[in-house]
Amino acid sequence: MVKTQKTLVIIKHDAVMRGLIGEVIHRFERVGLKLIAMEFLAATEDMGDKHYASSKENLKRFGQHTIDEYKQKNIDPIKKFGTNKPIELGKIIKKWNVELITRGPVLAMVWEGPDAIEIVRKLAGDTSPKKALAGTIRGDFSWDNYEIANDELRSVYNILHISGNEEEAEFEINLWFSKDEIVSDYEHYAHKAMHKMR
Amino acid sequence: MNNRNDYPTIEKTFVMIKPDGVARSLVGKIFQRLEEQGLKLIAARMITAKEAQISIHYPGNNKKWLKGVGEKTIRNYNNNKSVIEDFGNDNPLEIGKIVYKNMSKYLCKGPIIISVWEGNHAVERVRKLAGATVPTFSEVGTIRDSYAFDTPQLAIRSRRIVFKNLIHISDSVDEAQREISIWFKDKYKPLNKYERVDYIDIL
Repeated sequence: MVKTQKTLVIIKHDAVMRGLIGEVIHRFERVGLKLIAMEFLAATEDMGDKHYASSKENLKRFGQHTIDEYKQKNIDPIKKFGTNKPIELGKIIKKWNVELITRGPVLAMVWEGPDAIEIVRKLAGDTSPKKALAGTIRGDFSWDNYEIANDELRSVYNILHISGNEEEAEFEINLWFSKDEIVSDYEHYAHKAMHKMR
Repeated sequence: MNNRNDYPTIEKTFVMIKPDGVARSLVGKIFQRLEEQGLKLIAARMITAKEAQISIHYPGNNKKWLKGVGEKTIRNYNNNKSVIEDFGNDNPLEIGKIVYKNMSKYLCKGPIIISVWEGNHAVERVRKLAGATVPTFSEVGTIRDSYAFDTPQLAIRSRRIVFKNLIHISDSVDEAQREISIWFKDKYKPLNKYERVDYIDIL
């Protein structure tokens, strides 16, 4: 038996509004991952707050994207935000992230497969669509970046949220789905086809 | 302009991707086709259906309906001898019951995706997009023609009796309303308070 992982994918409202749901699902299906949960739902503010957990590391990570991009362009974060501390910046970005994820209905899904977390990260591409490579979902469907988003006081329109690692995946899957909403107990042809080639 | 969702021609329709569609990784392609028609997704869930739910969705306890199903099956055979061989009789009602039971089993065999789509003349347009119930009879370019190839003969030969035709769609506006109320109730109400930004200006 191949060891599999589960990972959470949320098609955010920016992609829902643009009619990109099918295209994104197709990308994960064609690589051979197995869909094991799906729900179209409106996230509450409380869910958004829990989803973008306020741990120091998380806030740092949210802020660091902006700092990195500004450094490249010689923009001073202090002039824009009044701070250059990743955590302080992270708090602002988190607020925007919650605003975006609660703005309208999103499609939450769980995908399963060998190294599913890494495979999904690879397919999704960099969180800044401008930086994301061609062929990745973010690279193919958006030109947005942190500088534009920050100027417009909003989160980056980057189509997807995906779990970053195993710990995050477990936490997020439990947040968005109850145990009985996950249906992994079925035979999946794409997976079978890969094995038939042996 | 007032709320676009209030236009009389803006309809909701119910689409179910059956277990073969999910297992064959066709969810994305089918959703894509519906989105490209300008239809807006307003509800979706992945579930494993229970036989009790199927018997509300299809009128599995209605004799007239079951008899109709039996008659259609007999017509597909074109040959009464094999009907009796396969079913042990040629009574439409009895055959209808067997076919229904098989269909119910097929729909509960694996997870399905249930969804609701909203848009201008959604019911009729999704019917067109899906194509005829029997995949090989459906027009080129329809979902069923593009991704399925089942026929009554093939189904009969593999003792399935029901067609693997990937999706169920609503037949009429009234049916759509009935089906949506079966599959999406309580906390799972459709969410249509948003606009498709790629279609907003043409409405």
